[in-house]
Amino acid sequence: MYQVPDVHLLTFLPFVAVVLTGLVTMVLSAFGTEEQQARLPRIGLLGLAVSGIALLLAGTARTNSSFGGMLNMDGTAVWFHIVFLITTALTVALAADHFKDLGAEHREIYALLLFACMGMMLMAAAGNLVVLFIGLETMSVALYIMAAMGGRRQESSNEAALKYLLLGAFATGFLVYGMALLYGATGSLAVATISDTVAAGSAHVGYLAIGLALLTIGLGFKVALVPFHMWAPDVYEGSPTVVTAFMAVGPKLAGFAAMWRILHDAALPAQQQWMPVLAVLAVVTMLVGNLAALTQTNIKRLLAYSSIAHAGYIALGVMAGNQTGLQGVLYYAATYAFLSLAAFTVVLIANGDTNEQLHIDELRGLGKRAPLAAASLTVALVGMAGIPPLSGFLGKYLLFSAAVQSGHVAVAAIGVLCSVISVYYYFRLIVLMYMQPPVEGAQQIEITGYTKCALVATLVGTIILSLPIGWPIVLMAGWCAV
Amino acid sequence: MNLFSVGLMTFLPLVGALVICGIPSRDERSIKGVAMVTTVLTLILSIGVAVRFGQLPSDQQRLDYVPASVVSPGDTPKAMVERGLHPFQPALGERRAWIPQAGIHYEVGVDGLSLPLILLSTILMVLVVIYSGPVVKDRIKWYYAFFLLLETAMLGVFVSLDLFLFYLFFEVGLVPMYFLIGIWGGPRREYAAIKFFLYTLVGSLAMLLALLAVYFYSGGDGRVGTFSLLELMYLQPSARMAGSLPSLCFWGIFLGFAIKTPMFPFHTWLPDAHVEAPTAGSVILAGVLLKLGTYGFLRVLMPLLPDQCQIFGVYVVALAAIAIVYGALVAMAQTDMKKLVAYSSVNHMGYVMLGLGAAMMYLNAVPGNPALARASAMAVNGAVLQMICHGIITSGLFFMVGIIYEQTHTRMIGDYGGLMKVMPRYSGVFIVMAMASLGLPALAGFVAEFHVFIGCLNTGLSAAAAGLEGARTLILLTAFSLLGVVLTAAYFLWLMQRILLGEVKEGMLEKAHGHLRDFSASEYATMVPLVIATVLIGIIPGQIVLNLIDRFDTGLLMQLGRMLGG
Repeated sequence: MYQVPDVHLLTFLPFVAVVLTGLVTMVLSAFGTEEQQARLPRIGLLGLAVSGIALLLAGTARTNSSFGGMLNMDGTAVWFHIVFLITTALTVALAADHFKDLGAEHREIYALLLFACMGMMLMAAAGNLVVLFIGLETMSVALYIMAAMGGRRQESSNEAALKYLLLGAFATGFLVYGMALLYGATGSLAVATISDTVAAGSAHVGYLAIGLALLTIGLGFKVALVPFHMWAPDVYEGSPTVVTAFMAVGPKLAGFAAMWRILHDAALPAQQQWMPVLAVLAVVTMLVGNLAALTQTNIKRLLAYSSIAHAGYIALGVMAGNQTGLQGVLYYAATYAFLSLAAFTVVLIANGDTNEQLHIDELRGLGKRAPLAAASLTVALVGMAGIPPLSGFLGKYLLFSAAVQSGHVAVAAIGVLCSVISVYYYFRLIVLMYMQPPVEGAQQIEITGYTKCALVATLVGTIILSLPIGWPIVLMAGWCAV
Repeated sequence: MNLFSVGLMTFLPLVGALVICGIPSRDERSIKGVAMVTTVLTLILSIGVAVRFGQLPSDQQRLDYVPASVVSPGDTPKAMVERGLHPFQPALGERRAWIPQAGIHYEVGVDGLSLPLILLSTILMVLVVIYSGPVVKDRIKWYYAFFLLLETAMLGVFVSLDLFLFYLFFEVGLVPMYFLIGIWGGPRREYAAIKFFLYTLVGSLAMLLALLAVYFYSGGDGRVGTFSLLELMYLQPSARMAGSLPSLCFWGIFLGFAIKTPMFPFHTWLPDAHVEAPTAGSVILAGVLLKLGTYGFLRVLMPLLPDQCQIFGVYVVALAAIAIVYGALVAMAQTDMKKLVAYSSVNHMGYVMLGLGAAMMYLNAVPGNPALARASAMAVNGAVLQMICHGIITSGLFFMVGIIYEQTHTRMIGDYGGLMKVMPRYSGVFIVMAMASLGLPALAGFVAEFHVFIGCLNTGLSAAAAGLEGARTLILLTAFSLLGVVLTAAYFLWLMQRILLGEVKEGMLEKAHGHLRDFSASEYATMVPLVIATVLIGIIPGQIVLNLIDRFDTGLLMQLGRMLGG
């Protein structure tokens, strides 16, 4: 007999708010008047804010599952959702100011950003592999379009979009095949059921192993783990900077959320199988990301490799799969979102969204030309390098200690070594900004409007996560009690 | 809540830094005023803390003081710690839950080791602000903000009793120093700044890993680990570690502090950093930051891993002996005054490590052998006193180099000659400082070095009398180090001969636009306190600091010895 699944509107409301806003902005961007179109960023931000409020309500809801377990709004999901909403809001703000730098005003970007955000939220809250897949595809398709938006002026943007599309499709293939094998091994696509079957030992060992491997590869592409990272630097460099900023944060973190759902929620009993693989991937990613970043002179490529390196650190937390690991992943996700967005915001301020002046020498003397931007970038870089008291330190501390706790001392040691390497390329930028004179003819840069708000927001976020170091963790630990 | 609390003293400079950040950079007078007021207030607070400490009954002047009311009959502090309690009431201590889920607390306190170093830091900071007033003109807002941030970091290291907190402060100090070298430094400042940063970071991250291992082994059996230094000292988690892990932990922590100290062969960042740093930066670097390393050896490494210290102590002594002689030889070869003083730091910090290394070697024999106990304590006394004296004397020398450099813009020894004739007062102070540094009796340096050498030799002799292993090596290495004293005397005397005596060099006057002025008011204000401190410690060391230090380290050695002896 068919049973109507339980639907808890409250847990579903955050998604509804984002989707509805996305639809409204899409319609307005096509048919709205000039005046209405000028309001699009504000409508987008409003929708995200409403979703945020709905999220708080959802957090207080009686139950955290909806649609018969399809959606799983636990603490992990809520935390990720907050990060995604903030990331999207900041990107909307940046797009409002900077997307016109490219010449064409692609107003549909707001709708696409909101849809991508919805997709990421679905990935983080997926209680079923189908939901996870739908979320991933919604996010990816929106991103393929956005990557190409620099198109008419910049061929590199077309190239980036095509590369991203092809490799993305390739990765999706792995992912779907992996899910199919997992279904074959366990007879279910529901995360909870898979977990039970694996724990009971009644899953087919071979299919399970291959399925998990394929899923890890598929998500490895999305989060840019080495050796599946090849697309990242080119795509990051070619895409409009606003889109790059989003890409480096949202989809990457959503990929990790999905990885946590699959490897931890569904396949924790098989941890002995995937743990060594992920450990190797994490080590290689940290090493390649940091070493390659050393030689970059294009600021976007440098940040791309740095984001690959950060994926390696976060992978450590997923690998450990313990309480500290979860705390590390969550805390680092929030930290990294603010730091990375701050860095890209400053790239936008210093260079505009033209992809023409991206040599790191453009940052020379930024300390004099745009003190606020230079200070923000300094905070971002010092934070990413993991120097206390900034939040990056506590994040790395949690991730490394999770690795040590799970018995991977050598892996943690390599991670620590890598963060020393990272100091070199991060601080090189600080040197350029403060210790070298500006290029001839460089002018003072005014920061105004949305950009200033976004920059200040990233700073405030970082400071909130950093200063009273204890409490976000305390809050999170209570929230995500597993 | 007393006004003179450790927490207020530590965080006041941070508040000052934040206030400075809020002042527009045009308003230079207010910025300097806030910096001056903050450092002076911090100095007053630190003196207040010292006075409060002095008023405590002498059995409470320690960190691991356990009030009798807390311990029930038949119970011991060790057993209480093993049950997850925290019975300690450190002198002037505070303890608050911070991230209790991970066993991290905000815990501070002071004792006979940290108090002199705290006073050294707060005094030097006031002098730095006085000195910098007329000298520094570029971006002074950030200059003072960074110095104040640095002060909080330094004081934080000295008062922390929680390893996480300790590590946090230890690392926080890097960033302001990086900028101080990188923005206000000399021509090769970028290179020097990043080298300083990377070297120190490598060491401290190795230390972090080792501390994490210790932390995880302190937990287990359903208990969260702890970062509390006092608890860890009683728990001795390294005893539960298998295989080579305890020695790895030792070398990890060792690396962190050895690079900071800096010990041979990890010293190569120091000359670059010192030469490129602005004068005030060099002063704080030499005066306080280097002591964070040696302080760490005493505060963290020895209590956490006493058994490993005992095994590897002889290597520490050997490295120290090399540093002493090598540092002196390299200093002698320098043509740049600042570099000479920098290498003299390698040489002088070697004495500190020699004393500590000697005391590490025979920890377990201390409780049963009064002669050895006395000798080891003397070696540590000397080491700690040397930390203070080096802080005062070398800071003074860096100030002296900076004062002349401001006028002539050269640091090359060959450019100078006959300063005694043009700048008699400057020369007088220079002679006092240089003589103190080379160890002239009745000045501070002599007392410290004397204690180190007598302590080390006596440790060796009493160990030999007791038939302990390694005594001969210790005696020989100490004897070898004595060579360093002679060499130190040689390079300082030679330096004075070249720059103070002889004919006045024309080139020198030309570089100073024809006229060299003697001490100005702010320069007097900077140097006089240092000269007074040097002389006082040289004449009455006991009343000033030595008795305090002595109580601390006899207690520490005895306790570690008991822990090892069972």
